[in-house]
Amino acid sequence: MLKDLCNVFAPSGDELEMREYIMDSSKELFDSIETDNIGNLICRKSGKESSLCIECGLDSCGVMVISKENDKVFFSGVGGVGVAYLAGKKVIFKNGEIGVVRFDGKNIDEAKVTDLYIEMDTKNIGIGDFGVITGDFFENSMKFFANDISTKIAIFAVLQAVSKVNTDRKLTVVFSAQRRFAVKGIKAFFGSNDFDKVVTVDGVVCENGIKADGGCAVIAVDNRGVSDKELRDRVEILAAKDEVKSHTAVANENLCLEAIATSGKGTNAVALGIPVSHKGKPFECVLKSDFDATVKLLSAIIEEI
Amino acid sequence: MDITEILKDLTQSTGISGYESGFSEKVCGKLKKYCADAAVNKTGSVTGTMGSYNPEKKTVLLEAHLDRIGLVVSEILDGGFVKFKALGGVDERTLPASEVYIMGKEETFGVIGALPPHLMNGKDKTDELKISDMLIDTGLSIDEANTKFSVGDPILLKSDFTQLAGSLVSAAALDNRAGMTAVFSCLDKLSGKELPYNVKVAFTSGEELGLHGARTVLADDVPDLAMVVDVTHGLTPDALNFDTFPLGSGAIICRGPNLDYEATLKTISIAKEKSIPYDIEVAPGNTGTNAWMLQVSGGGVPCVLISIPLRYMHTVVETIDTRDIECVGRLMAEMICGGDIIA
Amino acid sequence: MLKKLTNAFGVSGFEGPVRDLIISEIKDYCTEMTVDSMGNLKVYKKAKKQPAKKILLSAHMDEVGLIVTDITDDGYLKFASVGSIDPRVLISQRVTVNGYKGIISLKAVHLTDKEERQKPLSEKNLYIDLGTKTRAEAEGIALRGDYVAFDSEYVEFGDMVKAKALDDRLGCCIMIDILKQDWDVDLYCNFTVQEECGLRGAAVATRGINPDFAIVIEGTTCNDMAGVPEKLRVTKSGAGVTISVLDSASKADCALVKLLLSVAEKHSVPHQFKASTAGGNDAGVICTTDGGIKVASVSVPCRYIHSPVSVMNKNDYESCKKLIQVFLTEAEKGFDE
Repeated sequence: MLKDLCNVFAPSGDELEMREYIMDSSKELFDSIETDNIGNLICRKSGKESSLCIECGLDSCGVMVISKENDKVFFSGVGGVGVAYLAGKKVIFKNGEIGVVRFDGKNIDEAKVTDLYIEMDTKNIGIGDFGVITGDFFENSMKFFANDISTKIAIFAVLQAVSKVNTDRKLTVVFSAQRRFAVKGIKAFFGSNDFDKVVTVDGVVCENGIKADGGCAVIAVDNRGVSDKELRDRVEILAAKDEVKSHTAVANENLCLEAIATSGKGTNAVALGIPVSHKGKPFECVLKSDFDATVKLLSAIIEEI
Repeated sequence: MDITEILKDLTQSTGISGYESGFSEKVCGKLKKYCADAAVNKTGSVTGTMGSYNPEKKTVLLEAHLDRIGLVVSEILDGGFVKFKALGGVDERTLPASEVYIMGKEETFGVIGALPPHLMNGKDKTDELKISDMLIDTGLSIDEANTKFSVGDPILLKSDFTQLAGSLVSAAALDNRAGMTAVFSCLDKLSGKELPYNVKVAFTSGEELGLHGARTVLADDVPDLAMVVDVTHGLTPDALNFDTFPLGSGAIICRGPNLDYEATLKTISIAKEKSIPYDIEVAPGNTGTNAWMLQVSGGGVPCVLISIPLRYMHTVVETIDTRDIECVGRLMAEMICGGDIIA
Repeated sequence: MLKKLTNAFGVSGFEGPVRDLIISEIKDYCTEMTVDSMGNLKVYKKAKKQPAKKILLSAHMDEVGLIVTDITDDGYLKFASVGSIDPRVLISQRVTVNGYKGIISLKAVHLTDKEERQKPLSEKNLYIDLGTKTRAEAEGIALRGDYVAFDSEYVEFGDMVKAKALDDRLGCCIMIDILKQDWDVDLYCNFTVQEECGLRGAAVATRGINPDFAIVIEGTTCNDMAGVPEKLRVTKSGAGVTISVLDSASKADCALVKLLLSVAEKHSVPHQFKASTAGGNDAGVICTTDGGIKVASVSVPCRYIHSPVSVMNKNDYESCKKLIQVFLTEAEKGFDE
């Protein structure tokens, strides 16, 4: 499934393909699945009293075409992508056409995204078209490898966790739209839906205490917000009790803690991170053991918190 | 009511942004004296209503944020050295050579070190110091450290409450414990009186993280006017004139698109009328206070922002004139008792 | 009407004069009209018959301008910009404050040296000259916190119009014309405040409406002057109404953009895409309101936007208006669903 996920085309704001893939592959896990106005996929399992919501994103960062000449397509980055992330990568568009990101200048360290271009057939590409980096997934006995693996690994972890649980508790899973672009889906959804507890899942870069082979990273603080202390304590106690490999860490990237906690009437949230090595570079990788630990912890949370 | 005593008590308490719960409970206890229904909401803000709510009357909200900036443990290293991140806009330049308490299972004392001048060459002396290069020295072994505190625990910057000359005092977290004290001072003046408005109070969490609590503190309950109390920059020899205000200037009333045009003009005229020292500051956009979020809550909340001049903001030696707190408390009480502040 | 609107005073935070002008124009053409606590003007025009689609149109009344931050001892005003303004366009401009005229400039070029002329300009170094000689005199005209607008008259030249505040009085003007027509849709027109200082009014004004679709009508960047490379032009003046796909604040709803395109093509409305992801508008806060709203932005390209001499092509304005009109017409028919 992870390989398929890595091939799904879902730039911020146009996540239809990803929603369809999740619906097709996982509809038996939920009692109802609907799409809201901004493109969030809201999956519900009915059951006994519980106000828990699990969230992860649908979309990947990418590019938007702003002009073209001959066999060059010029673009803007979407979702905060920089030159280092894009240069030399393959980009795929909605119609399946593929190009390569080139930089012709001398000093790539000083280049801007507008200095780059995509080399490809431009006949069927227009202004406003979106592209994403190709997934190029492969795996070995220990690890998963793909470009831009964070979104896909989170979706995979959430679906795996839901498929493994055996519980009669109510659960809502929201796969949010435009998470890489200003977190719009989260703001819309939590702005008008109230939950007591939210667990948000994403791939996180291995730095400053977030360790590959450390199991699931329970994030205390991200770059804009703080996990609810009480909820985080409960997750940490649960991980210890069920012997799930995990470590508590502080993240420098945006894991949406602020967006969730400040929407609507206010919500207590905790972020779980799947450690991603070489993030931002070609072929990011995730240790299968870290992935498994995250799935195990998520399942435990759904059953017990 | 002894403003200095209340201020001292509040500034010696914790309530670091994102970790306010213990302090919120304490503040809730203090608020119960004026608001029987005082309670802490799920994101750590404290709210309450004075007396009994009358649906025939309009509602004024007194608001001040209760959180303070601090640090958080990000890694525990060999030798008991601790790497950390800021919670809120801590002034990095002031961290070297400061003392901290790591608020873990046990309260652990530590020192943020500084490179000895003897070992610095030219560039070291002038380079900007970054938090990512700093370490807290706990004097413990890594194993001992791990028993006393954990990654994700908040860290308090140590400071003593210092009485300076006249009515000036210095302490950490005067931003915004000075604002909270002004609110308590106002409540004290209103207490027991028949008032033309319902008065609600909100001590909001997470302001220093980015105005977090203010986005959700109102829930469904939107007042007709919000009086936001915070701090603004006090004049010092190295700061521009019109952006800063001498301590002792009184209540600093803010004008700009974030604030209600008419209500603010009325506030200024009440200050004049009642001979309360005041001055005017201007914010062309975001005031950087909870007023920015309250204004666009629900169907919209007209806001007035009144600030207390404060020197050395976001350091452990913040300094204010307690008479300014008194002015703000008095101004807000006059605005409410006058019954003429809401259109 | 556009002339009256652009000449009116309406800096973010003080939109009263513009609002009053709009109210006097549309009061006889709507079912219901309210002004909320922020100053947003919310207009509702019920459909002639039900069931009807619910469409929200949104344009902002405010313009970028200045606010007085201080008065100097010798009677000059210090200021800060409200909304984003390049300080270089302020030099040698006339402004109005509380009905009085003022001038912003620097000391004469003869009195400068090369080094000074090359230093980047900051608004902190500029001042407004009211002609007053003392602080007391100046305080008779303006106080800290009063608003200041560009003083720039509406001029038509060739196919073009030059005026201040085309962004977004042109949007307001289009909405006024739309309101004067009758429609078989439940039409909501929000004339919002304080867009320029952070998309402020629209979030509040949009709550509770829950439209099927929302369209923001704006002025947008146009950088198509001679010598500018193709990839940096953003839009072309004269090439028609601009449809935005993604900007810094929002992603236009895919289905709505498809509808707008097909409607434009069906009715031969000249149109173009915005070739940039820069800039943001009220769609950024509309899209996340009330659980999410399908919104897109249509704009008229404005050269020298956010300056006293913004310039638009009259034909682009007409294309924009026509696109909204044919969109509403198709909405009446349920978009041939």
